[in-house]
Amino acid sequence: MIENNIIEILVLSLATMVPIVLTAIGEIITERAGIVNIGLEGIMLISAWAAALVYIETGSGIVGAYLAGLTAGALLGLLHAVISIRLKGDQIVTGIGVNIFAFGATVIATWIVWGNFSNSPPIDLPQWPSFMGVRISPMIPLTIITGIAAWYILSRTMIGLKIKSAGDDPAAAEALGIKVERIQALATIVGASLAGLAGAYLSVDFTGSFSKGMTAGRGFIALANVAFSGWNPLFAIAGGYIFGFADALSLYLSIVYESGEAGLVYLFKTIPYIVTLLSVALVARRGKMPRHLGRPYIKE
Amino acid sequence: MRITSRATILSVVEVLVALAIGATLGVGVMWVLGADPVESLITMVTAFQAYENIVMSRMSILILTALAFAIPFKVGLFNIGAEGQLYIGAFIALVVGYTANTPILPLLAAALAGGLIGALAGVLRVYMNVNEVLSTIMLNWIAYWSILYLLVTRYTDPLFPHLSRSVKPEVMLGSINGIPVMLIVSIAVALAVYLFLNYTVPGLMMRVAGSNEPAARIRGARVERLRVMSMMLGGMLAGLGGGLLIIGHTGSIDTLMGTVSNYGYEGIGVALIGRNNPLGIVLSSFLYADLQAGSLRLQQTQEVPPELALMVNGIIIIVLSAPILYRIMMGVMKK
Repeated sequence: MIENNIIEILVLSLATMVPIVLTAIGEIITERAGIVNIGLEGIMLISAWAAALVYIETGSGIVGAYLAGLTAGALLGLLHAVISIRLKGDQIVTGIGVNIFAFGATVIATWIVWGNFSNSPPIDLPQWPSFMGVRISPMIPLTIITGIAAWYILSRTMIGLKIKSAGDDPAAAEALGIKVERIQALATIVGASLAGLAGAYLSVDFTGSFSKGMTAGRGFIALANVAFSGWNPLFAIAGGYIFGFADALSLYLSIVYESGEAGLVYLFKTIPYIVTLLSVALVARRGKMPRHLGRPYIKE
Repeated sequence: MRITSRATILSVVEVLVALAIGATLGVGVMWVLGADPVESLITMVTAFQAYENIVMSRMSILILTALAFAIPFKVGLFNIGAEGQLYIGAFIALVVGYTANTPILPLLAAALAGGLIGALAGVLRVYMNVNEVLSTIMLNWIAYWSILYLLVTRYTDPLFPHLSRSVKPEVMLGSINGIPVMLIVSIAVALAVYLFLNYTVPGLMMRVAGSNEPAARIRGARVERLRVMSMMLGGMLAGLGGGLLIIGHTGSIDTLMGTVSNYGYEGIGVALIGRNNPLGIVLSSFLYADLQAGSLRLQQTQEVPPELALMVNGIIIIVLSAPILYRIMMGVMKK
C-alpha cells in the first residue's frame, strides 16, 4: 500500500517538476548572461492566463496555448531586457513590479473576459497516456531535453561562452568584440519564454483552468533551484525533481486528507516552501554565481 | 546643495510621471469595464471625504509596511516579506488580545514576532547566503498557510465561522478627536525612523553601508550586523502593522485572510513612490490609501475587482524602476 503511494508521488513529481525546471533553466541562461529576473512568478502567471485564454476562446488546441504562453513570456522578457539592459534600471525592482502587476492584472483580465473574480471556466486537459494515474505530458521529456540542451549550449558552444563572459566580465567580453547588451537581451528573452511555457503548462496541461495567483510561488521556487543547482542546468533538473517532489507530496496529502480534520490540508501546503527554504539554506553557495550578476553593465 | 535640490525635484517629477501613468491605466481599465473615466477619477481622488476612516486606517498600515521595505533597502536588501511579517504580527496580536487588558501588550508581541521573522531572513542572507527575496517569499507562504491552519482549527467564532473570535473590546484602540490612535502611532513611528536614519550612528552607518560598502567597512561598520538589524527592524514594523490592523481596526481575522492580505506587497509600491524616505512614505501612503478607498467607492456602482489597485501599483513600480526621465534630463543638461 505505502509503497504504491510512494511510487505514485514519485511519478507525480515528474509532472510537478516541469514548471519549476523549465523556469529555472530559463533563469540560469538569463543569469549566466548577468541579468537577474525575479519577475518569473509574474511572467508565469500572465502566461498561464494567456494560454488559458487562447485554449478556451480560440479552439486552437494545446499547441496554440503553449505558443500563447511562449509569446507572453517573450514579450515580458523583452520588457525586462529594455528596462534592465537598455535603461540600466534596477533589475530587482522591475521584477517586483512585474510580479505585483501580474497578480492584479490577471484578476482584472479574468473578470473582463470570463466575468469571474478568481477563475477561468474549467477546461478539458489534453489526453496524454497516463502512468500510475498521472498524465504523462510530452512536456516532461521536453523539459528534460531542454535542460540537457541548455547545459550543452552553455558549456560546449561559442554562444554559451559569449553568454557566460557577458555575465562574468562584460567589459572584457566587449573588448573581445562580443556584443554584450545584445547577448544579455537574447538570454533574458529566452529565459522569460521558458517561464512562459511553464506558465502555460500550469493552466492548460496540469490544473485545467486559470485561477488567481495559481503559480503559488513556483517562480520563486525556480529561482531557489537556480542557486541550488549552482547555475548548472543538469543539476537544475535534479533540483527541480526534489522541489517537484515536495509539491507532489503536498498535493497528494491534500487530496488524501481532504475529508479528514478541517484545516489539515492548509498545513500540508507549507511543505514546498519549507523544503525550498531548507534546501537552499543547506546547499546553495555563492561560489558559482556569475560575477557580474544583477549589476547594470555601463559601457565605458 | 544645488545638485541635491535638482535631484530632489527630478525624483519628485519621476514619481508624478509614474503616478500619472498608473492612474491613466487604472482609469483605462475602468473605462473598459464601463465606467465614466473622468467621473471615476474624480470619485477616486476625492474618496477621502466619503471614506475618511478607511483611508486613515489603511494609511496607518501602509506606512508601516512601506517602512518595512524602505529600511532594509537603505542597506541594499529587498524585504519582500512584509506581507508574511504582517500576517504573523496580526495573528499574535489576535491571540494575545484574547487575554490582555491593554493594547500595549498585543502590539509589542506583534512587533516582536515580526522582528524575529525579519531577523531570520537577515541571518539566512548574511550567514548562509540565502537571497532575502527568496527567503521572505517562502516565509510569506509558510506564514500564510500555517496561520490559516491555526485560525481554522482553533480560533474560529462559533457564531460566525468565517471569522476568528474577536479580541477583548478593552484592548481595541480608539481615536482622539476623530483621528485613529493607530494613525498617530504609525506617523510617530515614521518620524522615529526618519530621525534614526538621519541622526543616529547606526542609522547613518546603515545608509553608508547601502551606498558604499567598502567605505562603511573602513569606518568600522559591521555591515553584516547592520543588514540583519535592518531586516529585523523592517520585520518589527510590518509585525506592528499587523498588530495595529487587528487592535486598531478589525478585531478579528477572516478565514480567507482577506483582512490582512496585500498590505505587505502594496507597501513596496508605497515605499518606492515615497522614494524610501519615511516622510515621503507618510505622504505616499495617504495618496495610495485615498486611491484605494476611491476604488472601493467605485465598486458600489461598478463592479471592479479590488486587485485593480495592485495592478496599478505594479505599473508604478515598473515605471519607477527604469530611470528614463532621469536619463533624459541628464542628457538635456549635458547638452
